[in-house]
Order: sequence, then C-alpha cells, then structure tokens
Amino acid sequence: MTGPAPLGGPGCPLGPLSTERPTPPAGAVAPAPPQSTEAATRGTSDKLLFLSSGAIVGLSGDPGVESLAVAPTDSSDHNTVRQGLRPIACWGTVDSRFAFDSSFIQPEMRADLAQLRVVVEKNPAALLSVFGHADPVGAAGYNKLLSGRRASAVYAVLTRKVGIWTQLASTPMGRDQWDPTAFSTMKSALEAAGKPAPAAHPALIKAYMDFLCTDPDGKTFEVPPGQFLGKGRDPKGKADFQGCGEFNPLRIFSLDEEQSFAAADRHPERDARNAPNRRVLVFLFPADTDVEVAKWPCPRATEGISGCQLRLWSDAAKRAGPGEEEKQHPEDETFSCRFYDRLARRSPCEQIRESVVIRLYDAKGRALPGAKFRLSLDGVILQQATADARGVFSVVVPSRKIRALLEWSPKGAKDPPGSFTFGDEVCPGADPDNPADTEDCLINLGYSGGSTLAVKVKGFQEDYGPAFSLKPTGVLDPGTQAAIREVYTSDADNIRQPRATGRGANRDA
Amino acid sequence: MSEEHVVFLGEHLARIAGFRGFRSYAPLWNDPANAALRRLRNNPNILAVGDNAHVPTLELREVDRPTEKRHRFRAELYPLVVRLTFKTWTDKPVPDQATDVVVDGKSVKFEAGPGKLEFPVDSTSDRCLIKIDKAEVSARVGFLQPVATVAGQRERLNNLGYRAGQADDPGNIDFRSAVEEFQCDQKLVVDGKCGSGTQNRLAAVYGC
Repeated sequence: MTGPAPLGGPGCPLGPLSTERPTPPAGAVAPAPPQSTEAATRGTSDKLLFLSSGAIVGLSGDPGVESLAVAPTDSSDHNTVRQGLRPIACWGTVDSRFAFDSSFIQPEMRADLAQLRVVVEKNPAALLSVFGHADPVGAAGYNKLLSGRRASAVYAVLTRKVGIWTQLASTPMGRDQWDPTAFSTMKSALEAAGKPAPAAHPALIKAYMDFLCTDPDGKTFEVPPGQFLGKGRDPKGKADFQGCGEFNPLRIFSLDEEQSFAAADRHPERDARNAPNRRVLVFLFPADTDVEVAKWPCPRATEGISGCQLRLWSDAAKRAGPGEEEKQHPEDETFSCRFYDRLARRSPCEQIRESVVIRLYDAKGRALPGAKFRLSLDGVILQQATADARGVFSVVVPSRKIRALLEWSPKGAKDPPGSFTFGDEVCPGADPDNPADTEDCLINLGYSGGSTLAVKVKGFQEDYGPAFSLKPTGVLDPGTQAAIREVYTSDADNIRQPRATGRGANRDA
Repeated sequence: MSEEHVVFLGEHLARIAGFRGFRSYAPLWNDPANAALRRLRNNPNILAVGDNAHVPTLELREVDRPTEKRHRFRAELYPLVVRLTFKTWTDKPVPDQATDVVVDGKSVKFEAGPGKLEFPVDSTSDRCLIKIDKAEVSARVGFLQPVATVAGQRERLNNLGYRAGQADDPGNIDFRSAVEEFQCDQKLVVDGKCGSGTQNRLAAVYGC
C-alpha cells in the first residue's frame, strides 16, 4: 500500500458516535440512499461513475460556454463561434492490467473493459480516442513508444484489429516482449474460461480479444474504427490512439524522494509509487466533433516525442521538475502537455487511487463481524457488501482528501430495506501519523459531531480518559494525540475496553 | 440634461443611447466630450465595464411645415445586426443552419448560410436564442468587451472554443492555457500572456 496510511489498516476502528456526544446519535441513523450515480466529485461538473482497483469511469459535465457574449454591429464585424474539443466521458485502466513493462493486456482487464462498454453504450454516438501514459523512469523516447504501444493494444482489442497485436508481438521493444509469455497467457485464460484456444497466433489473438471484450453476462463488445476520433482514416491511428510518454504524470516525487530512489535497491519501491503514472485512458467526444487527422496535434503512437514539443506548456520544465514536496494531480500542475492538460485537467478519470482497509465497530467500540456496509462518494456507491469475520473490508478510493458516506449495520440487523443502523461522513485518506489529520482520525472514530476540533477532542478524552489517563480538557496535547493514534491504529476487537496489555501491539498489522 | 455614464456589463453605446431616447449612438460617439472614449475604444458597439461615456442632452428639434402637404423627414439610423460565423474545431463552416432566432422572446427574420447567420437587433436587445438543428445557442448581445481587456480576451477565446474559463484573471490556469493554445495554433510566441500582438490576432480571428 502506498501513500497515506489506510483508514486504520486492518486494526483501525471506525466506530459510530457514542450517544454521549453532543451531535446526532449513531443509533438507527439511516441516511437516504444516494440519489444519483452521477453526483459531482470535482467542482460542479465532473462526475465519477465507477471506481475500482482497475477501471475508473466518469462523465465530464463541462457544458462549455453556456451563453455567448457577442457584439452587435453596424459594420462588417462578426462574431466567430467555433467548436471546442471537449470530452464528455472517460474511462481509465491501470498499469497492473498490462504485463510488466509490456503492452500485452492481461486477462484481468476484462472487468475494466466491461465498464468501458457501459460508458460507450450510454454514449452510443460518441467518438473515442485512446491515450497511453508512462512513468518518467527511463528514456523519454522509449516511454513515448511504450505508452503508444499500450494505447494501440487497447485500440486493437476494441476494434479487433488482430494485425496490430501481431505487429506488437513481432516487433519487441526493450522489455516489451510478447513472445512466448503473452501467447501462453492468452491460451491459459481461454482454457480457464472453457473456451477453445486456437494454435495459430492470429486466431488465438482474435479469440483472446473476444474473451477480453465479453462481460460476465456473455455480451461481447466491439467498437468499429469509424467510432474513433480519427475515424480510422490514418493507417497508423493518428487521433484514434496515441502515447503521451512521460509528459503527463499523476505523481511527481519530491527532490528528496527522487534522490533516495536513485539507489538500485529502492527501485522496486520507486516503481510501485510510480504505478499511477502508468495508465491508459479513453476519452469520449461528442459525435459532431470534427477532427482532421492532419491537424491533430498528437504524433502517432509509433512516432517519437518531437511532435509533442509544440503543445507543451511554456512552463513545462517547471511542471515536470520535482519540488520540495511531492506533486500530485490535480492539486498540483503535473501535466507538461498543454493539449492533454486541457482535455484531462478536470477529468474524473485522472486521479490517483489507493486501496484502504476499514474495520467497522458499533457505538460501544465493539467490532462488527459480518457487518453490512455501503460506502458512497458524492452519491456514487463505491462499494456495498458485507465485511469479513473481523468486520474488515477494503475499498479503492481517490487518494486525495475526500469525505465519503459510510453506512453500516450489525450482522442480522432488522433495518428497513436500503437503510443502515449507522451512518456517517468519513475520511478514508486520514493518516494517523500525520498530526494534521488528527481531526479526520477523530471523525473516523465517530467523533464527527461538534463544529470545533476541541469538541471532538473532548469527546475522545471523556471516552478514553481512564485508559490513557486523559482529562476532558478539549486540548489536543501530546498525550491525547498519542492516544488517538493508538486507538485509531488498534487491532482490538473492543476499542473501548480499558487499556490492556498488548492493545495496540497489532497496530501495524 | 447631459450626464456622465459609467458603462456596466452588457452596455454598448447604442444601448446607452437607446434607453435615453436617441435613435442611434452617433450623437454620443461624435460628441467632442467623448474624444477620450473614441481613442480608447475604436468601436462604439464594444465597450468595457467602467468606461466613461458622456451622454449629451437630447435635443428635440422643432420644424415648421405647412399643413395639407406631404413631407419627408430623414433620420440618421445605424441599424444593428448580430453577425455570427459558426466553425468546427478544424475551422470548417458548420453545415447545419439556423432554423429559428428568438430575440428578446420574439422570433425574428434572419439570413443564414452554411456556418453563417445574421439577424437584426434593437439597440436595447439583450438575450437571443439561436436554434440550429436540435441544438440551441444562447447569446448575450452587447456583452462582448474590448479585446484589450482580460474579459474581452476570455470571451473571444471561449467563443472560439478555447475554454478560457469564467475568471477575469490573467493568471487563471484556464485562461493561460487558452491563450497558449491560441498562440500555438496561430504560430505566435507561446508565453501564455495575451499581449498586444496576441490581442490583435485574437480580434482578427474572432471578427471584432
């Protein structure tokens, strides 16, 4: 796991408010179910539709200019109104869906492609364009080509252009070697699915592509070349698919991190932290978007970086360079390509995700094995399931600071349909080791009531005072800070029990 | 009585004049007291918020004419139109033509061709709605500000599809991005600053 500590890790409590708190009691809280799966997640216009460890799907609600400011005239003046280039929806997938340092698509991308099918079916006339991205490790030219190979692999599977995969397999580049591993993976995946695995490579590729684009209900999914932005007019896919290389990372390491990652033994960690930068996105554009292949600014997937230079931000060097602190999109300006930045800056599909582990407790601090839960972000249900035998579940959330609605019920609770016993806004990204996140940790512990930190702190001190020798002062002193961290990272089955030997020992479990 | 008027959003000189009983902007534009305004803004139809306009006293002219005869009076009018050019992202004329134009709630006659539209407006007209095939375009007449202002640059860039945002702040990332992209498309020096060279090109590409 990378980034901030998860919501408590396996031992982290997430208890509802105790009824003593001066805020709404936890018992029988049954917030209304989310009204829409299209609620805003950024600004007021962009909407996250689906989020998992693999796929991310969203809609761009950017309506463009709602009303034109125009001038009247009594001469020859005129006002020019020109179509903009504006995605209306997006889909993204992650590095792990490709073989390591390769453009070969692993069988796991099947679930992600099913999500792409959903968004394409919702926008049946939309035109698609595929953008591949690499991390900044290695030569820029190599990264450009690798990201282009990945984008072309995705384009090919959607259009069933077997020839593109055959070409990728027959023209290895660096460590992007398809033969023989890719073919054995295709064969195994088909056999595991009970499907015939032809011996001839073209037939095997076609069968595997069909397998990847078949959803759990057996529906197959194919996008004709004419439904891509370049309409398939360019034999090498200009405007249909392209690689952005390392120009548009989601994360840029700090100076210190970059220096420390120079050591070879830290490369695995560096590569893991760079994973969000290696990704492929598909943007969907309005059906009437008119693109002339010759005027499309992105070079072809098979071309080098020189064609990208013209569209870089004037301050691209500053954007790409490390700073004192780690830079992360969208809070920081990390995209060097202005053209891509204009398409993707506010895209709900361009965000770092991370997996967090949550343990559910009741109002008295007792873990809830097999609890039912629902986690929603701005009306979008991220996950609705049952926690394990310890009351633990994991979920993928945006790594940036968010507030999500968590609702949960003890196993066997007789709640009305669609309702839950407990419900509260939580902060999945709270880092117990970061003092600035203490209030978020308190919120996750159930102390969400009260307008001030002091009220939350006092509530915690009242409940945990005996165990940690705290007085209910409302002051966040070092002792209270340490106690909050210990409770938050505790793995105990009852976090309200008096401090006992060994409690907190499993906090890093 | 004459007055000194400070221009607010949506005002152009014909509108200011029309609300005060003038038939055209000419008496205001040609008034010696507006020499500074003429130097600052070379187009009476495009003023900036905060501009100062002198409004002379409206003089009613009396003329003697015999009865039982037909007389012809000639007024100097400057009929206003809104002229629009619709282009695709690749600068080709949009093939669909307008099917209806509504100005201040009433359908008006218009002239349309591929990518072209022209329709008359009164000096006090404000909102208009243009229906093109199944789409509707809303426009605010007289709200375009001079290209020398950030607002005027932003409005032109937005109309040209560069998505410059809604903030009149030259440091705003949407605005800077739009300026750079326009400069790049126009093969100008790309620095994100809408200086006089970029302004001139912007006005030329936009049409005013």
